[in-house]
Amino acid sequence: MVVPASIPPWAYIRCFQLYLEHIQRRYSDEQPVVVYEVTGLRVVQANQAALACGVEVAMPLSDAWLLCDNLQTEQYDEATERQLLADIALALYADFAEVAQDPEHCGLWLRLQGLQRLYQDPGQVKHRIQTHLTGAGYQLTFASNPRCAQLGLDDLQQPMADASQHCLVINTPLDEAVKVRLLHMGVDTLDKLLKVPTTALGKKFGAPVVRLVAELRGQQRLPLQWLQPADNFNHRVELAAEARSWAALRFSCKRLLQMLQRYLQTRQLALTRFLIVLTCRQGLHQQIPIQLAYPQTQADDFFALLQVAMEATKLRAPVMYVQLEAQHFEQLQATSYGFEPVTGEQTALPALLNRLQMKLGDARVYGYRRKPGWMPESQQEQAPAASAPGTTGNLQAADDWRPPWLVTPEVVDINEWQLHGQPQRLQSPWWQPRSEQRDYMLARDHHRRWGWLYFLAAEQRWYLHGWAS
Amino acid sequence: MTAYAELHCLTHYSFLQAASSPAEMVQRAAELGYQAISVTDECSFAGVVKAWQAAKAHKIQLLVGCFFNDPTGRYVCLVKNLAGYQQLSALISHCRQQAEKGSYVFKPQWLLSKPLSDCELLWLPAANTQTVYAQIADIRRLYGSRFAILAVRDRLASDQACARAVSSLAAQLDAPIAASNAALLHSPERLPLLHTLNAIAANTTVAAMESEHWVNAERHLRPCDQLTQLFPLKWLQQSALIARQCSFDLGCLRYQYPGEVVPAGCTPSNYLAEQAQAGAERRYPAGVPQKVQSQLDSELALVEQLKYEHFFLTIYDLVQFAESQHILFQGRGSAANSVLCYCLGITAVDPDQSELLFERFISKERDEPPDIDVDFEHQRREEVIQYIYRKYGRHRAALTATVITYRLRSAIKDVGKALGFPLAQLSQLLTRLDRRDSEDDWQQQLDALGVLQHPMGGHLLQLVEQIRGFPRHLSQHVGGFVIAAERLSDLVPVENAAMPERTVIQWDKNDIEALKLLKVDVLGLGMLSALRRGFQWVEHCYGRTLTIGSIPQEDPSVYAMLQRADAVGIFQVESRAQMNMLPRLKPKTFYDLVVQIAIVRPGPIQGDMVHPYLRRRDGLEPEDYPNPAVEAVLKRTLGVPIFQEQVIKLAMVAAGFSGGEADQLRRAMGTWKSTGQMIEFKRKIVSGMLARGYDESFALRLFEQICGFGEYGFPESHSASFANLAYASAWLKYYYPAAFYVGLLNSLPMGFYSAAQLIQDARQHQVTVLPVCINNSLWEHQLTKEDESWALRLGFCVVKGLSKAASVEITAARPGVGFAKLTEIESLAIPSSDLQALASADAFRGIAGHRYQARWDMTHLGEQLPLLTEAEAGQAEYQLTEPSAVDTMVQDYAATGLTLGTHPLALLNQQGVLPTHKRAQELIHLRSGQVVTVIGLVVGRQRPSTSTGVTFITLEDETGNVNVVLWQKLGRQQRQHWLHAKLLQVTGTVEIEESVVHVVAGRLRDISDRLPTQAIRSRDFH
Repeated sequence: MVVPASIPPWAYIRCFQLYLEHIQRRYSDEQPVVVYEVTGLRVVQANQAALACGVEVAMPLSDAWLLCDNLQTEQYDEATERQLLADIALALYADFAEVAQDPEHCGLWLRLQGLQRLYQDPGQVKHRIQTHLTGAGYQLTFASNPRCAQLGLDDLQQPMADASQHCLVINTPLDEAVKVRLLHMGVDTLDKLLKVPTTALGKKFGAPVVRLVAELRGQQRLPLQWLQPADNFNHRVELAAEARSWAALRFSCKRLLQMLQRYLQTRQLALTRFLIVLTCRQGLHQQIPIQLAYPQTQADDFFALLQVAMEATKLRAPVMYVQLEAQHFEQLQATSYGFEPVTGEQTALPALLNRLQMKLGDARVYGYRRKPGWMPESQQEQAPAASAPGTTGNLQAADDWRPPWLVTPEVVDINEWQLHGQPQRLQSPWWQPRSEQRDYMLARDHHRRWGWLYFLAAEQRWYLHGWAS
Repeated sequence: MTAYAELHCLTHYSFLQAASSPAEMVQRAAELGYQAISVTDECSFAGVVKAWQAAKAHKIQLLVGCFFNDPTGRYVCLVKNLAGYQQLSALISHCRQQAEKGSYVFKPQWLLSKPLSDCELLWLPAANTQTVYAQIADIRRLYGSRFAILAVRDRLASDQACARAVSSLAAQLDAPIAASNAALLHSPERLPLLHTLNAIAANTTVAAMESEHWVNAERHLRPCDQLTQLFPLKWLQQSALIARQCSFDLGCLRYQYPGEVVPAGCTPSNYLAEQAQAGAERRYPAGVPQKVQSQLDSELALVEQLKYEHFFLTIYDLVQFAESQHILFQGRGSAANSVLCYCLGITAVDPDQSELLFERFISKERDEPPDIDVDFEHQRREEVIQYIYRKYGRHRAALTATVITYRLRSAIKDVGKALGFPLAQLSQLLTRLDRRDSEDDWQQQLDALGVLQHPMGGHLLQLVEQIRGFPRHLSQHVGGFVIAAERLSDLVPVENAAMPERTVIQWDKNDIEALKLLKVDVLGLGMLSALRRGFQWVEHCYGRTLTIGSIPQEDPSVYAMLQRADAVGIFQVESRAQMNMLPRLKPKTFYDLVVQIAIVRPGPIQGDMVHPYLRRRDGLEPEDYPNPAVEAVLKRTLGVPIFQEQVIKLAMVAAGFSGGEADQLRRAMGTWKSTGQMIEFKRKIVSGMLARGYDESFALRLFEQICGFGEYGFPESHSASFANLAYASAWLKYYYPAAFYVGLLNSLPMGFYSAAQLIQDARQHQVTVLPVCINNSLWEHQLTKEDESWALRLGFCVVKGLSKAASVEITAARPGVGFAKLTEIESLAIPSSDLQALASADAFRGIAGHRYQARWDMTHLGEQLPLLTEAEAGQAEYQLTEPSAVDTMVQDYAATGLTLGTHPLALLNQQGVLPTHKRAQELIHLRSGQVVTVIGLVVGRQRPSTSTGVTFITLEDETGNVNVVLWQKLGRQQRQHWLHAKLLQVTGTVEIEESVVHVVAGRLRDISDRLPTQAIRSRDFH
């Protein structure tokens, strides 16, 4: 009779290059890709193709470029990597109730002690983890305590003295200065550290080293922050390529809605509104609020409503990220809902503007706001009505007069105008596609209206660019 | 046409504020018919000499001045005459010396308190100034008719308001108004560059500072007809009127030599002649040769005629001071052409033994002050500098400036940042940009790297091209001093340098040359330090007193050593290229050494002079001269021109150039690629030679050789000066190797080799090297008696992280019998970082066991309660395991950068982790062409500009060095293997020629992972 192996008390998952794997889908496997940190311009993650070219982690980016002619580089985004780790933690939470994050080392602890009924042997645990980490490169260690597990030290399969021979002091969480001092004494592996009497270690290095040794021996418990899923749902996905239409957004939205459904189901919650935020590469946001008549939990229902809203929405710019935000939940109840009365909040100005925008379209509800720049047309910016100031009266300073209403420049017959004052010469930014020099003047037409005209030397023509009255 | 003078004009010497050079401004003003043009940079005269030269060429009046910024407005000062120039120069110096390098302090009250009686003052009021402030009224009263308000029109909406304000202020002050462009550009096309420079100065991008940019290009030199539309006629006329008040010409500056170098009662020429004659008699105790005497007399006559006596006497004074302090020195460069310099002791090349060309040094036609470069021991040069300050005072002596200009890489970096290129992309461009890859120019390379796909790509290429050569800031020259008879600020403003207690003038060496100011070059040379220290050790250990002059000459054993390319550490012949040439050229005499030094230079190599010379030297090719005149010039170098002097003489004898013309040719050679001046000389050389009966092919060949020389050819005199030191260092290495290495090691950093490589070489020359020891070492390396011979004891200076102060404290407190216990040293209250550094270097081995144990014993948590200390006594005693041989090596490299233990390669071989390979010493016994595998630490990677992309890699194993040649194509294909390798395996063919051994690489493999330490460092691409 084969006795099934009991499951170990602790597991630790170390993800090697979560961020790289996240962005890798934009590239083929043959394409060398590295992730670099922007302050030191050093490689922090590299794919197989880059490693094959001789690129190494921690190498200066300039060297990596020399080694790989067609190298693609991406800036490391710690926040995204942490979010990815949090996503994995959340997914694992459904299967392993006790999950703790170790974002500094891009790892996760799983306490397995109470799960003997669910998982009979380590193989089942591995299999379960694998379903959540498909495609991710990771190292899984089982150990008797969280510190050993974190350091990759499997003390269950072999004696501690043997297991710790290959575990380097440099990988421990001790202060760098302490690690250097230990290395300078030839104490470079954990087995050598564990051989030194604890009293001597305490005397020479103080509490942190003693604590580490106690943690490794299971005499002291590592304080862990157990995962407590957030009260709100806020997830963002980065698209593989910029989406220019709703069709290209469907898959990602479905994925987000499925995550939302899982989130709601595990908490027995429902919701009546959520927000989709579309972000383009330049950082511009477009928000699509979805309002439901009564609480829902199903991704398909959410998707049906989203589809209706999206088909009535025009994308302002190619979309790079899709984000789903849901904050206000209700406990799932077997209650039927009637129509809610309209609240005062919904009648507020933003709501009115939104309604107008839905009715008339974005382009027809707008205001103006001032922005830095020296050409008149670049100093005024058409902005969504809600974000523009109420008036245009402050658009110019005394020394930098601009007419309140600019028009699309149109050619005029200068003989019909009477010029006044001195010309003002403006040269459009040379780094913009069409650079030109304009001489602006105030002028009055037959109807005694003040216009703002400019002479374009390149064309030898006069244009009307604005009205002063 | 209305007479107009530009009274306020900034050039690119108002760093990053204006986008045109002084010459461009002046030329444009002349083209526009301005009556005068000013150069008024910010608190600076840095651009005035260039402007003055351009003004002379374009025949336009130059107004010299500057401006100062203040919250109340801008104050532009123009000098009226020499006195005004001196006043303004003094004010600039004052403002600059109140602030750190590169900035200045200005207070408007200084316009009242400082003498500026011979200056015009123009006030450009700050924007929105409606009423006069109290002080300006005082200023107005003091300056009277020398005061005016400056009016500027930029064709902006605010122009009218400004004009009204200026008129109002003028009425309030009862002052005239003068029109100005306040020019920042000579032409409107430079606006993008101006925006870029402004963005660089603000450390942002042009797009990000859009709202702060000049919105049009009106700040350029506008044609007079446009100005008449913009300004009232009276304001324009006022500018011309002010310009007429200013009659100062920079050419009237008269440099006065410091007078104290001539003793009272003597005339400069008599005193110089007297000292020179005395020196000649010391140099030639057996009697001054007639040739030397007549040359000396003619030089003295020319010096008297040109009134350069003070110059020679100033240098003479400096070298006498150095001699009195036992500081080694040697004059080099063209000064070594002078018998007078030799007799005064400034140079060491005996004119009786070489063919020197005095015209190279001083020429009547050139009418320029001679240039004497004197090298002093690099570690004691400061003593000479301080002597200058002491003798002449800080108000009379300052260093020359060096204008740091934009080069290609700095231009791409700064312009790229300003245009918004991501830092990572710029880093990529700079990495991949290969300045030495002659196949493509830089623009083509950037294009190939996809720069033009960036929306700003085209602008990047254009702006980088424009900004190259633009000054970035002023720095100090390495050692060029200007010494004046009176206050130096009467000649040129003086400002603070970055180094404390140093001051620097606002002109660079070209400006000084243009105005014929005297510059004394006080340079530092490491080999002089090394020789002096070596000589001291020889005297200390062997009781023999040596000087460079007293070393026995023409020693065959020394030349035999050089012929074996045993030249590590020897001055000028220690590079890889020189060591390859030594066995081929086989120097047997001093003159061979002179040739050896000059021939391994880009000039002769690119001029294809090396191989003909070697073939003729080996008798494989006949010497060939078209006539006796040419033979006289080239005979000494077997018919091949190797030295600059020969090129000059050839131009004289074959093409009929005068001495001065030939010198102009030499100068043009240096810059022909950039200026194209050589075209004119080509015509002159070829026609001159044809007229003298030479055939055209010979004339053209000579011209090509001259062009090949470029700026890299050595003058014979210079090479001879270097050969002198090369021979001295070789002699010391051969006869007293321990003293030679200790001198060299104590003079680091210098030369080509690291301490580790020099120690490796020393041990190969049977010098015993002892490790750093707490009881025997001093800060410097020293020779100590060990078993009846002198051994080299490493000093504390080799210990990384150890401060000199700690070392001094330890040696001062060290008992005669040495320290017995670690606690004795710990009680000295030396910082623990110093003690840790010593422990890392294994300096406590004699008293505390191995380094691990020493570090353990020295590790304490800090102060503890006495009771606790007592209670815990003994609890921390623990014996750590001694480091293995590999660990020892790793720790040695980490702590000192070298190891005296087993060579890493030997260690790896003992462990059997390396594949089968040949050792460096075995290669010479192989057949040329044989395929071989070698492995070694990469100690050098070089790619000389002359090598057309070939990379030379030097590998070191336990038996010596292996020279690897890597061809460009293979290098590119396999660069991942060699570019960063510390341990490299190379399979290739061995090539042996005249005992020079190379391995031509075929396949390379980076096996650095087998090396247990990464602390081994190579010297790359120097």
